[in-house]
Amino acid sequence: MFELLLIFLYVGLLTIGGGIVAIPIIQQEVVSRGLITLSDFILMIGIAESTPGPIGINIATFVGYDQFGIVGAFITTTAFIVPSFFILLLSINTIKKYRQHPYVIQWFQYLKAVVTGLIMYATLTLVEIGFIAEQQTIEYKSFIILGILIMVSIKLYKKPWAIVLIGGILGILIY
Amino acid sequence: MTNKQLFLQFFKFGLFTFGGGYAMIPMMSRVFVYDKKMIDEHTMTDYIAISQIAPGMIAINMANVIGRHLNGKRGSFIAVSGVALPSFLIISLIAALIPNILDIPIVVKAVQGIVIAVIVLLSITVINLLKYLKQYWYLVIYALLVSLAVFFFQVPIVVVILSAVFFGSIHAWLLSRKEVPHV
Repeated sequence: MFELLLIFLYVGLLTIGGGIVAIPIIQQEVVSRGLITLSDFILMIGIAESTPGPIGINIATFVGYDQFGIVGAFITTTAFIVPSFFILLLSINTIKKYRQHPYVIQWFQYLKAVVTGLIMYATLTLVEIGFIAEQQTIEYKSFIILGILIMVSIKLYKKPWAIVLIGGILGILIY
Repeated sequence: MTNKQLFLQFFKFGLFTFGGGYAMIPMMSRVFVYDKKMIDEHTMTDYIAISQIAPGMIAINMANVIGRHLNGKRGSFIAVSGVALPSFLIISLIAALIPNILDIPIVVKAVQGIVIAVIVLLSITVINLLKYLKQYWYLVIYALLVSLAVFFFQVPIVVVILSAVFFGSIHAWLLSRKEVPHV
């Protein structure tokens, strides 16, 4: 449980640019340590994206509950929030003062690129899972689902829960 | 605003906003700037920028700075608790109701479909971010390199984040020496 606490303190410290960045970081820390299987983690992302509230909190709670029940959920969620909570509480005046500083502006620009790259990385790992079947063959059925979902998402891109729901139903019907 | 009202207001944001922190920004602005008129528009714009620069989740950072603005440091704690609590309760409930959910064959098939759905959702986020980055071609290349470095070479994410501070500093330093034109 102590390990989980440290992991989420670390994740909370590194999450810059919004909770969605926490997905690849938690994946790198939790899945690669074998604490949670990749398929469990994907289900968690799906549910976290389709329930209300900050996505990072949803995932942290889920991982914690999966490991140690309600106590685990409390630990991961709190550990996730605490570092940034105190950093911002103590440094808000400094941030206000230096927000327009040329260095800070460039850091933020490059961090935005890193955030984009990290989400691409998270997407790539899922593409690997979703499109490559057990014997290193390409799973063609996935393309059918992808095609339908892209068409659906043009209308429903503001309703992530609907896209997840339709994806789940198509999975049951097609695979 | 009493602490109780503050808590309830942020509890509502947590309970009724789908789509994470980015979706919460316009809702918070509407309530505090236009409906209740407790924060002026300029200050709110500042708070939104600060929430994105500071480490941590955007929704939590917004709750932190708005709570502090309204009720001081105690307000920060109350607003952050309020916005996080609904997620905590809902997800705990879901996790408690469906233990061992992956032992059910039909769920495994559904998850395979959900993988594709999550790919679509993440791609939408990437596209939105790229729309912002596309005016800086070097940042688009940097983003691509970051994704490939982590995917193929398992570069630790902390290294990648520090690299942004490193390259950002070099860029700012070069700009200050005016050796490169503004791009």
